[in-house]
Amino acid sequence: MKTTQKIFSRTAIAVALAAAFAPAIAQQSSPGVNAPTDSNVRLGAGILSGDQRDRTIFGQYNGLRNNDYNLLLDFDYMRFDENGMGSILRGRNLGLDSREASFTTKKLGDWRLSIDYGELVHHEIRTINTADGGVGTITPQVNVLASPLTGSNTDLSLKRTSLGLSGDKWITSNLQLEVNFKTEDKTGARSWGRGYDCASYVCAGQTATNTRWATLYIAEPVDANTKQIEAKLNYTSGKLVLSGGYYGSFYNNNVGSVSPTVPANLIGPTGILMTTSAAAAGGTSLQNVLQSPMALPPDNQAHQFYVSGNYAFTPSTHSNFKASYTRATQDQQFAAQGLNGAPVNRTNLGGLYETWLLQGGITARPMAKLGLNANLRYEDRDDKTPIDTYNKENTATFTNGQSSLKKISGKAEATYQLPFATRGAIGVDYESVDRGTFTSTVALAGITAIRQKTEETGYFAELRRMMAESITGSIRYRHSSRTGDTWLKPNALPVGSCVTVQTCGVTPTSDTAIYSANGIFPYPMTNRGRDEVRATAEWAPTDRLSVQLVGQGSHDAYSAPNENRGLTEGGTRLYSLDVSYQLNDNWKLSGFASIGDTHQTNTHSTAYIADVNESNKMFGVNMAGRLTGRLTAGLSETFLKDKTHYGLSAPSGASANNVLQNSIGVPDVWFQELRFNLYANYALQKNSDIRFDLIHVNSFLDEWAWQGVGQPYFYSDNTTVGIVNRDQKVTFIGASYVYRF
Amino acid sequence: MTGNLLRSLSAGLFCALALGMSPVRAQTPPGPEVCQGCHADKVESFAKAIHGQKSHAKSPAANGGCVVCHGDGTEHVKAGGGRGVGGIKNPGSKLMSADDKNAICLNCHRGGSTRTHWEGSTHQARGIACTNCHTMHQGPDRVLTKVTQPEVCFSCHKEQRAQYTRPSRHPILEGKVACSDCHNPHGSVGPSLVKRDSINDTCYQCHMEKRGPFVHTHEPVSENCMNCHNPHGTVTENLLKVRAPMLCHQCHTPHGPNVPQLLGAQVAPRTTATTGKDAINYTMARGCLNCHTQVHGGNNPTVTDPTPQFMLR
Repeated sequence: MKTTQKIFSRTAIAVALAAAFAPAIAQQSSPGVNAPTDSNVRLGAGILSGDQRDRTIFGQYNGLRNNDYNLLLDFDYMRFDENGMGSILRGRNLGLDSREASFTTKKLGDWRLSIDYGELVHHEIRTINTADGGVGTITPQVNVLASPLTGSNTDLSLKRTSLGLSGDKWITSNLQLEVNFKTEDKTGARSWGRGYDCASYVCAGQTATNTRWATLYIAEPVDANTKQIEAKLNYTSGKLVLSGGYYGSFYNNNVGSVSPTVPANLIGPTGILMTTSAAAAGGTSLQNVLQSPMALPPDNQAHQFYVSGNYAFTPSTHSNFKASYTRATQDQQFAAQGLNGAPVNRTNLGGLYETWLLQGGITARPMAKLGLNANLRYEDRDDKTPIDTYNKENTATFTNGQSSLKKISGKAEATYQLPFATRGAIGVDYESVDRGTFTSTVALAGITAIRQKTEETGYFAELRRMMAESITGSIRYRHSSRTGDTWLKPNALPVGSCVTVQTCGVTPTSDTAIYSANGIFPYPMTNRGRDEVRATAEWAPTDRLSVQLVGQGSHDAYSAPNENRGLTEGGTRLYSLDVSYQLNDNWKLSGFASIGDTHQTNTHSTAYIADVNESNKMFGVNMAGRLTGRLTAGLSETFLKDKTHYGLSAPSGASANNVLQNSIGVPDVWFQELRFNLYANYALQKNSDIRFDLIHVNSFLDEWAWQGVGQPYFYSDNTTVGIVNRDQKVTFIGASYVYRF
Repeated sequence: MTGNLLRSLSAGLFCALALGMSPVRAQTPPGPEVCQGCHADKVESFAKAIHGQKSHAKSPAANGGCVVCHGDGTEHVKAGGGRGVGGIKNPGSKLMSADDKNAICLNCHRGGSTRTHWEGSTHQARGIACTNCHTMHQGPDRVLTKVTQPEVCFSCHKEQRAQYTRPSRHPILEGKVACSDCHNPHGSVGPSLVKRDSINDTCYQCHMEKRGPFVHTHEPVSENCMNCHNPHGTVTENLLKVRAPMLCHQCHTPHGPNVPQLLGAQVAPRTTATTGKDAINYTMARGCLNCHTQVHGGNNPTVTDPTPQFMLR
């Protein structure tokens, strides 16, 4: 295993990009508490090429999307006296919409108080072209465009604004109190939607002039607050470490539902204006369905009490443990969310999850060469949410379900020191998932079958050579096998109420009887055989040169009663090479290259087989050093090329039309990004520098989700979504003055 | 006279030497003032770092200095130095076992709430030492700063290095989210060293709106967010592992035998009679989520047809 001291920047461009807007201290050597260089301020300006839609990928998080000219302002102030009393004041990205600042005052080894503030805006990389009004509000107005791409462009963003307070105090030499509090507002809007295809009992059918279905682009309004508070006492004695406390988390949504206004005429499947379907007998019109309220996330809260610890029986024999109880509730009033029509006398869900967690583990070294490690974890989430008849499908009614979950997992491992500085390890692991008895008053649909219980057993073997000067490495193989109990087949929808008829729910069915040539069994519940292998090697022939090789792969084989539907296969591969070389005392050079892929084979019914293969190649180089006594500089570049191939083909039983459609398939999705960074730092004086940054990023995203062949996906009001510039070239030039004090 | 003087001086020198080699003196190992004779850069960085602050009652500086981590250097000094000479400990050495290195650090850092599950954790079991990630003598510890922390983690986790620059990702590249926001590398009771007790509880720290419970629950969501998402970065929007409908078809079989297809690339183009459950509507835009918008769970209680079952509204 490699120590970081000898690893040069392998993500140099990433660091450089962030560092361009991070404090100057990041480029200094050996600053620490009390060091005179610990305080500094950086003031500068940066200019960006293009406009805000030319840099949507580059600028989705870094605060550099919207403005061409940007203020670069960061500072660090740190002072401690000889008694260990001091303060730290920090500011980052203060001229950008990703600004953050913090203040800490503390007495070293005794107490600490901190306050921090942060803003972070996520700009969606895609732009909406629409005539809709009130986009991102709870009352959007859908307006039909005469043709796609003739509306106005709208961009969505989400802003997080957080405030944190924290502190700790050593009450005695053994007892510490820690308190953390964070509140965060999240505002803005994000992509969402609304779509419906009328069932025959809801509205009239499709005709040449009448459409019974529509899809609309509705942005989800976000105006919520989260709060987290944690208070704990940490006790440390010679052998015992104990920590116990409370963790509470609270979600409060200021918006409860979205009620769109939708016109009576919408664009039909061929792009022409059509009339939306009128109500069927006993049903309602498509327009009414589309205007009905859409629920937004309700308020919820969770309270957790816990105790965890570690006990050292001997210096080489330790046990650890944790016990916790969590009570998570959701009892937001439906009416307060703007949602009506709940079952009689039901004003809120009364949702309640009670979760117990118990964990214990032990590690020991009974002999000098032998190490043992075992642990066991038990988690039981009991869903105590009341059952009520929330669902109606034509004449059938049924209830909500409860989703309890019990997980038991554990492992046992042994390691043994072998000759040639090699250590061998073997182990077994186990996990079972019990989803509880299926609620009998629920009518399950859209799924072939489910399983209550699954269990997975794995074993591994590993050899690693670590305590050696020049060549170290490891090889590890793991195999696991997941099986489950009898499949449960959904019962047919009854006529009437599931509560009174009692024929809903599921029925245990043998594999033979449940076999369906076209059925898909949910992949988290199917049988699975998994093989994983990972090998690493590191060669450091001198203090200046280090070479690291990593190869890893995994393969999953899924099986269900019909074995060839749903997710049947998956896997990953990755090979990487890292090299670092210290040219001399002033210059370092490093580079890496990696190649990998992830694939999965998924078969749907009699329609298609998707052999999805996402492959990527990445390389990076980094060089940094000192040109003269006053001038330091760095250069780095990374390149990522990622291709997703969907490999559609026809399964047996596919219709002639589907065989032909599969042969057309869908195009590959490409993402390619080149990041180049150059910086130079010139020391004006001992305590001041001039810094220059040049960053160039070329991002290319070619996807088909929003853009068909020659025509975009158009919603039923002709709204379209897409990336205005798919080949984005962004150049940033910045200059700043750094003063240390 | 001269002889007496010489005898007195000899006796004095002997006593001084004897005193110098007495057990009392041997219990006071050399400190930074001695070590800096050969290790000036290390002592200088030590003096600037938290370990070197005497005002911190628990710091090595306040408890003997270099000896706290490197052991008694008396014999090392006597022998004139050298790698490993005189039993000097060097936690930066590859020839020292991870457990031995970690024992030095845990001697002081065992307390608190974040390292109770170090023993038995994946990192401990795989022979990771504190010094693999932390630096004591080289400037600011890169793993403690959000901007530089991923670089340290990527020295082993290459797969994540290839994922975190994809277009759908967390703001790791910008230093706004770091690996330690979700993982506790010192051990936890959750899988993959996640910070909270489970993957979902970890995700809820920032995505609490997904917690529910909801009127209409989507069970795989409440079971494990990673059934559908890859938090380290994907090309598909919203960190989805694969695009709909392929993702949804890993569990579901609705809407008949339609092949994923694009507008303008259809064997049978849409007509006015095309229904809403056609392949375009579940392939393009948000795919299946064009209609099933409440895929994380919905709280709409209405019992009026069409009810919001199937995550529709």
